[in-house]
Amino acid sequence: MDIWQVLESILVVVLVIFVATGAVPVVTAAFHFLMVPLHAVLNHYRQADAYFPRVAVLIPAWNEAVVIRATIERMLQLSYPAERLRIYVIDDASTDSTPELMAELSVQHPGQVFSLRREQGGQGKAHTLNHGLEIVLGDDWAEAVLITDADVIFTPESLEKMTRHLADPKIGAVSAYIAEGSRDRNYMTRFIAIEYVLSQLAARRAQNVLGAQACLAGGAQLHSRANLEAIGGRIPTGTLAEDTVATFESQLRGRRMLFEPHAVVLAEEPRTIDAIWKQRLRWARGNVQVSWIYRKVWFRPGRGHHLGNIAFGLSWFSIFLLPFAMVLSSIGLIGLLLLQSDLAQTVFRALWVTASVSFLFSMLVGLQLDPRTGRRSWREAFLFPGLISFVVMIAALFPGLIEEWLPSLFGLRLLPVGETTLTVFVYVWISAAMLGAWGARAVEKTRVGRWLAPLLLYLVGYGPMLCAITVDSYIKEWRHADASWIKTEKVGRVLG
Amino acid sequence: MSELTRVQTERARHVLRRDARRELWLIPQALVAVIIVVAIVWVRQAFFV
Repeated sequence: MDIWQVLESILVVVLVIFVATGAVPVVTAAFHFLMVPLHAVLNHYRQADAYFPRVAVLIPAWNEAVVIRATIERMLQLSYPAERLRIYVIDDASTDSTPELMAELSVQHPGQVFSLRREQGGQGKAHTLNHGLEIVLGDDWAEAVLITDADVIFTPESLEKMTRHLADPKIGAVSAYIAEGSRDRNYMTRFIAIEYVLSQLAARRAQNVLGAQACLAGGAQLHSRANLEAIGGRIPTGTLAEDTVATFESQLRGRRMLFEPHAVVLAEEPRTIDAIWKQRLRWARGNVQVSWIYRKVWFRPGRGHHLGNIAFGLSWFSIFLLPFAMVLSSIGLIGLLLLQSDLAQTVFRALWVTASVSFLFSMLVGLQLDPRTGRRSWREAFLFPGLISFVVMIAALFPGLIEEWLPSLFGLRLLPVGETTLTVFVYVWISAAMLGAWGARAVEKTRVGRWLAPLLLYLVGYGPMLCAITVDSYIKEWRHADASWIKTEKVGRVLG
Repeated sequence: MSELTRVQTERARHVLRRDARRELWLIPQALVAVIIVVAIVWVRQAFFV
């Protein structure tokens, strides 16, 4: 064997490893979904009890006149002792009619609704919340603090389902299930609804089992007073992921964070690619910052917290590094195609059969967790990775069905040149789908964008769009791009 | 404990027990998912490979 053959063998092994990285995120996801049924027995319900602490609700608000009244009125209808609930709206120097509306609501509900105003606003949600926390924690009344958003509607039993876990002093904070709650849904809100089922009802149950939560939902996080005081009585500022940093800091101080799947709150979500891109870019950039800040925590199982768990770290980085995995996978496949096309085919099939089985299992578990969302959004569930990838999955599961049997019905047969072109296309598609998502965002602003953007998104997939946003976040962080707070516009579409 | 608080506590405990029981459904739901995936893999092995 000469030196070139040795080098080629080494290169082939490296390329196979590249392709295998593409399977890591899906296998990790499937592993997490396998832990969901464990939540049936490994949960916190036995330690929970009926518990009604005095709760101060903090609602940061900037120009929220359209939504704030409905939010407060629904909050006052909660099945929770009225004398143990106070609502504080922290008006971040609104320029609309929010101050007048709040003045009216405080008069209508004396001792229950309070309006706090910052004259100098615009520093972001964490600063606004800290203004409220300083006042709320300044006296002894509040035993727990619920942090929420101005557009989030709490279902009647949701708060008491959260407070019951605080009966156990080991629990520092509890998060609820934020469901997409728009009255008039479109393709984007249906995709988001499915994403929330997977990322909350499934993934956060798995995180309950693992004993570590990645992030408490910013729209519904209930902290015990002791937990907030332990992290300094304020929400950490300086990153774009204040919710995640607060969640990590609390866990590092030895308190457990919990997700309560039966506490349901409804929120209004973005309806366009551009709107979700801006929102998720903020979250993704926050995650880049968190990955760096807690670099000494990952993969180091420690005492007192579970953030260093191997499984938890794999879960975090399989999402954070998913775009890298997709690009490496494509590079590996194209390289193998040039060197050993038969091996490329075998590895490709193994990758996609693994991906298809993992995806199918994850979706089938997810759809049953919230049957109402499942019934409304099952198409978006199966087209989550995109129509093209869905067809590739069918081809991987049932070899010959798409590329031979279907054309043969029409008397057609794939020519060698067509076969090569198609092979290169599907090998590259894993990463090219992200570019497709970028394209969908670009066409959305054009005259044909109204129908072309959704069509493109169904083709390339919602999942690849999230990966494209993650890539954008790497670029923006690398360039130290402007990180000023951009508020997601809310117009009061949540079911009343 | 006042009468109102007692009633609320009883109701909250009832809701807690109900939610704990609901979590048990996760096991058959996962089994359904496994059965469907296994069936699809079986069809693949039996008719396509």
